Amino acid sequence: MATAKVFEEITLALEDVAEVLTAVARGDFAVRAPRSFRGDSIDVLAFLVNSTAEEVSDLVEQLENERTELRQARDQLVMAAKLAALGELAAGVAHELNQPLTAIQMLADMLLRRPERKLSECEGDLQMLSEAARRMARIVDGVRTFGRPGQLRRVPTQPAAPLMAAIDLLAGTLSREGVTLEVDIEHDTPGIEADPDQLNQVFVNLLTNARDALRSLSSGSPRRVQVCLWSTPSSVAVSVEDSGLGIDPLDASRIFDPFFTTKGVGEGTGLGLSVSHGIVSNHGGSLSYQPSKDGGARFVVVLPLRPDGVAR
Amino acid sequence: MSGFQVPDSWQRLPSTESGSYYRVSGDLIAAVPKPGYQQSAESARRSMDALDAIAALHGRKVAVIVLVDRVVSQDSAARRVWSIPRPNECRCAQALVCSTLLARAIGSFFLGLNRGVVPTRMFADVEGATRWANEMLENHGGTL
Repeated sequence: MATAKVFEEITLALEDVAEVLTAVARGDFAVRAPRSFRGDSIDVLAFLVNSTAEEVSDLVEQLENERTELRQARDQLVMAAKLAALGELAAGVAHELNQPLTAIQMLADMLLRRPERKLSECEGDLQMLSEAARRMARIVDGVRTFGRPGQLRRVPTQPAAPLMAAIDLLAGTLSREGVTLEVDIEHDTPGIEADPDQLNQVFVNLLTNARDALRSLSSGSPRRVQVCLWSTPSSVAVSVEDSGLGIDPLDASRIFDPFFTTKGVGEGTGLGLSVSHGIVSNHGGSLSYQPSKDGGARFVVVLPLRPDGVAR
Repeated sequence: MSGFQVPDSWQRLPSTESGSYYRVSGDLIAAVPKPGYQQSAESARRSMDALDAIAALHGRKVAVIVLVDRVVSQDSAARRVWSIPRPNECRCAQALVCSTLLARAIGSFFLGLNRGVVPTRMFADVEGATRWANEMLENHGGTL
């Protein structure tokens, strides 16, 4: 009779323990095994399982807090890198805006000087005015997109779009510096799930790095940046390759470390590649470096396709 | 051990609602909880304040023997309290007397998941705890 009672007590205790651990498994840390406070084996088992549930709860909360802090720190790092890159881009953007602005000013002056002309006779000039204004709007939009603070907001995306936006932003600067830009883009690739603003930031960073790498070449050396976008059955890839001097093999393993830079003091923050690497990783992709065939640098971004491959 | 009797040689010090404090000898203090004591964060803080007051009155660092055998429960918030560093720490060592299965379970959680701010060890009896605590006092005790 006594044996049956003990057996029943043990069974009940085990059921209580199982209930607490099952609750922990489903993320409910509030369930506790009843305590008798007698200090016998069953009571000790209840204390142990209750304490385990409490500690797991505390650890999960701590982990969540640390994750939140990490996300906030990463967002701040992304923003710092954006602001630094925006600063570097500012001079180029001013120049980009100045060209259509000059055209608008000249066309407007011409129209004002000949007020007798009918509107139909001015159609060509007005179209040029309109195109110049649209070009300015595109540049301003590009800067605004690039500088937008933000958390990862993934939407169905055609990968060529953020890449083209980055090219639009830097093409003028590259051209003025005598750099030949070769673009080979597969426009009808399947879609990806991505944050276009953040991918734009990655591509601007890679193109800016390529531009900076070519600045150190002696005059007369060929200056070339090649941008390619292609797809595979499971991913899309973008490569940015320059004809610069490449990266010292000793530095190659550190280029994705935060604050690592080979640029001179005040010329680079050392955040661009690190942040780009983080952004691409958050998209489930990879960003890698490999020397190009002619000794320059080649960066390759690989991003997974959407399961259905369609960017809507 | 659950039937522990306080030796006559121990000098009684001011008590709290959770238990009593005694001077074992010199700077060695014993904390003897009331039987069935369940420690929460609040009662842990009060115990710590009481120890601070005893040490401050004495002007010296103390080593503490805690009769965990009388404790039936200590929650995680209470464990955290003991792991938070305090300015002007008055304890140089804590010896936990855990002779029962439950006390050993409580002591194990206390030691395993919270790195204490002062050296802490678990003992099966008061004698072992006293020896080690006195050694710690010799090496790490002194004025506050």
